[in-house]
Amino acid sequence: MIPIVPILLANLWACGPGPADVNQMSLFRPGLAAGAPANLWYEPDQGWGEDDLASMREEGLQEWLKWFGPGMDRAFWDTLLTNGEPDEDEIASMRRSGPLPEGYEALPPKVDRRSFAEALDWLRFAREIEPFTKSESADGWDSPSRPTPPPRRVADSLLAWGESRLAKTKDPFLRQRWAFQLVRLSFYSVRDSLDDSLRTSALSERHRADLAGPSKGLWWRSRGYLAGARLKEGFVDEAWLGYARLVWNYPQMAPSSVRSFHPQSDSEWIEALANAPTRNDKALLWRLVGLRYDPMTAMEKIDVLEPGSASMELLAVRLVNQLESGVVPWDEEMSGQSSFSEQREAVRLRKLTSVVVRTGKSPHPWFWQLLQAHLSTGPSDSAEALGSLRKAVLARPGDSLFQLQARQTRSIVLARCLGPGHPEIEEVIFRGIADASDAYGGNIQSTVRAILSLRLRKWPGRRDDAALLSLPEPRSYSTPWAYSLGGSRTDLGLWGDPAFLERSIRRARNPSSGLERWLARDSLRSGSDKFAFERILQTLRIGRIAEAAKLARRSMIQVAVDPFVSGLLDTGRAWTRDPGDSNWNLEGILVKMDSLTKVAQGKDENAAEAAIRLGTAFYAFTWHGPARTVFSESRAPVLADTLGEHWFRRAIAISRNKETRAWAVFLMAKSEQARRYDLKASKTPSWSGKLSDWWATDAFALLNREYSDTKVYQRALQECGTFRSWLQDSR
Amino acid sequence: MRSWLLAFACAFVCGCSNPSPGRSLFWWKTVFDPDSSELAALRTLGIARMHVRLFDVDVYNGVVYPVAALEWKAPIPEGIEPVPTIFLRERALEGLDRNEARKLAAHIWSETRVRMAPSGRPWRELLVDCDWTESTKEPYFAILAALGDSCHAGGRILSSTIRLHQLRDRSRTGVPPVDRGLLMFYNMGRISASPSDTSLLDLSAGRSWLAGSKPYPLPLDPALPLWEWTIQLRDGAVVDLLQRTGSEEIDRSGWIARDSSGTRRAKREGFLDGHFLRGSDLLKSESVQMPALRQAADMLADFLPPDRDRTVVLFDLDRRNLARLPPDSLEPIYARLGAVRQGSP
Repeated sequence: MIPIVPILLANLWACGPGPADVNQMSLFRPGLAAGAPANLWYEPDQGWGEDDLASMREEGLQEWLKWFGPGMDRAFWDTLLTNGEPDEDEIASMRRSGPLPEGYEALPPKVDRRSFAEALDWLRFAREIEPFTKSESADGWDSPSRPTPPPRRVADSLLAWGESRLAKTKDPFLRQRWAFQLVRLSFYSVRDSLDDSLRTSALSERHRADLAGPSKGLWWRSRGYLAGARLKEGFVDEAWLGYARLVWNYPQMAPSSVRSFHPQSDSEWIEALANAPTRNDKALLWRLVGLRYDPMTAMEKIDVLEPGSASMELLAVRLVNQLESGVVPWDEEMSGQSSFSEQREAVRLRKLTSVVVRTGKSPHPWFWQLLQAHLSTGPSDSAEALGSLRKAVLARPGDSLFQLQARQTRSIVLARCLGPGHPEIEEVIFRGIADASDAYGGNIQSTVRAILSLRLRKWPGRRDDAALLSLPEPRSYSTPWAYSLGGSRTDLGLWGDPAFLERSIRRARNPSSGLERWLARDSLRSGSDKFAFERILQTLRIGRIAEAAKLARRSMIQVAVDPFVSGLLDTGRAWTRDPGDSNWNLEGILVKMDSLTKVAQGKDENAAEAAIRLGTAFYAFTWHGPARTVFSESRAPVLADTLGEHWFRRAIAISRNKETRAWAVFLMAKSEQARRYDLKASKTPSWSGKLSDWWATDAFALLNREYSDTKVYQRALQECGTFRSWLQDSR
Repeated sequence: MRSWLLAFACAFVCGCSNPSPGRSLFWWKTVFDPDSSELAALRTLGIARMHVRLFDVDVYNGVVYPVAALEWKAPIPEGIEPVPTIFLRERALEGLDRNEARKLAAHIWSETRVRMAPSGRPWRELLVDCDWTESTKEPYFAILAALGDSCHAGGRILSSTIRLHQLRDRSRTGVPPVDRGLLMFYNMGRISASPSDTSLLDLSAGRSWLAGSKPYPLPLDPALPLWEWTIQLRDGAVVDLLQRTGSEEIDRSGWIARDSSGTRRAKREGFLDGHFLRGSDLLKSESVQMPALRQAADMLADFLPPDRDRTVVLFDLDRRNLARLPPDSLEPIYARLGAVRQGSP
């Protein structure tokens, strides 16, 4: 019995960094829904998918191979289908029993020649009409819907040819293919005349029996042409119904059909619903509305027409995913504005899900039971949620994807109602989220961690665990200010506490609880390495280089640039983590820095150079420097660029060479600019301010005041636009 | 008020010896077939030019295409010079290198020439409308540079829209390499559920944008809005924007009711101008009213330096806009910005 404890409701939705793409924030796998091809999981607004076209092609090829029989060679026929241009003589020759015509010598001997000749005859016709069905531009500038129709007499002649061949063909397989090509040709022959378009409809109707032949794909593709023709003809109600049926029955054309559905007036929509012959047709029309516009309303309508209909499932998962990601799919500019609206939507979805579970009319009750559990909010409905989950899991023992989702959903449910003193439940939670091999698993891990972290921090003795669970994923480049410490930002919490880091290293090396085992298995490196890495950073952050070098022994972290080389401008940023670009590893760098620290204690030019190189290295590791990727996997803010400034000041103080000092001043300006930027950006919600907000005013002023007669100054004037802008503004 | 009368009087009485700024109305629909009221407005207002949206450029499956091309069902009226306008979606620029940008410019140029042929009129300016940002500045400017070469080779000029954020933040977004800019003085407010927010023409926001902007290094033509749109609201949040829908369409529907407070609410689910409404959705229509339009014209007249080659553009020529803002009422707007009627002395 799972105890229900009165605890605060946790955040329902996925949290974590990263772009707000629907599929990157979702917690529920859309593939679990019935009638849910991958091309409809998210917004089908990106044109014909290459996968859809490839799938249709493969489907057609398989049908041909089956028709030819086992003797046909796949590559041989595939090549012909793609590129072959048979002519009349070749076809005639194929029909006769003499030698094979040139170019067809590879025809497998077991293939019946007469059948093959008929196939070539068809192929010749298909090749003849192909130019009228494709746009001509080689680089895709021409819209795919702009092929050039054939001249009327050419179209008539081709249609007559096709009709005559169809009339002579007995085989249903070939008859379907002839009929399909005729529909296709007539569709692309349409010019402005309504008569042209009506011809497509009439042709489709006349050859309906043939079009309903062996190939399901060709049937539905012909329905696609018919829907398009009816749309042009103004019979929009039939067009909408055609598309609705296509979406349900032929996934390869589902995205294009959804995109083609765009009722402009209410009357045409009402007419479409009224004229739909069956309740199932009306439900499919609402499904189309749900896919394109409003899944919640659509589901409520479908449930009235066909209670528990499987056609709702895809809509349900799409809605769940949209709510989880907090993205309003139809306008990026409006996203994030409707959290209250989303909550109301979630309530409606929960209500509908409960109704479907309760009435028991769905052909897939396990799906709705799983969804009901997934939508639960906390202790008040967790018992019902877990009960539903149990039933769902028992109903689908062999479905590994379903079982995975169920385990992970259970972890979320349990996390929401976990109370102190239940280690066995924690074990179940962490076992459930162990698998983060897909994006959903990763998102669920983040969610469960966030929920648990909120709970644990209030329980006695669990402060460490809460801190470990609240570790964000490695920071993305979207929050650069978090990488460097500026000004007074020194609060690292437990991550500044060496004792915490040491404790965490020990726990990750010798896990004894569910949480510790999960931490040890965490995705990046082994758990203990991560904490060791943080320990190195923490030590470096407070300037204890020798100690950091010692901790970094055998760390093997490679660095792609030389952090000791300074340039006037920051170029060649180390975006890549490819260690092949340089020979430096972290241990080597820290050892070098330690040695430079000792040299920089002197009072000669060597000491000044050493100080400059040290400052350069510290700057390199900040967000603004070329070696920032080294620390991008840290959970905590990176390095204080005040450390860089400190060493540049040392160089200025001890060097007697004015050019060296000028150089140190300019490098100090870079560090100062970085620090000002971080401080400014860390305090403001949007960090896209003006450059003048973080000018290195102190160092620039010093450079201008005391070093204007140096070569460094001249170089800065020529090459550094920021310095020029500051100078102009300050005059 | 006095400044208005003075401007109005000057426009008609003063014998300006120098060419005066011209007048334009924008045609944004995908079929060019102005009706009698729209043609009459062109005559009444002495319109010299018409900006005409010729096609959009968008990206589909990684390939850039022209879409929503204009269909010419009538020629441009006599005496009016068309300004073809290409709406270039920012997403079509993403990831383009210099070569690809030049290639795209070549496509745009040849498509423009082909599609302008049915207009029946010569044209001397091409306008590119694009809401570019710092990250797409490079490819956009490369396209403009190539288009500029093509324009200049034929004695034409190239212009680009300039939105208010591009006006003020030019240090980041850059200044496009064109001959003129079209300053879009609209859409500066928040699209929100709040009755007090006006997204179309928020004068306070507009004032703030202009105040924060230094003189622009390009000659600018001002563009002001005339249209009306409707915001779809649900549970207090914005759901969608019905850009071509105004109060007239809503009231004609028969299933959207206006309650005692003036709020419009859908009585059931249904489609309105291609948008799906849920029962109980609210609709908030925003339209440009004359007092706001006048104030906007005042602000722009104060901000923009004198320019003998300026064109003042009102967006857009549509009978619904003319029903709310009759041509006579628009005369002072043009006049305030110094745009005299075509053929005026």
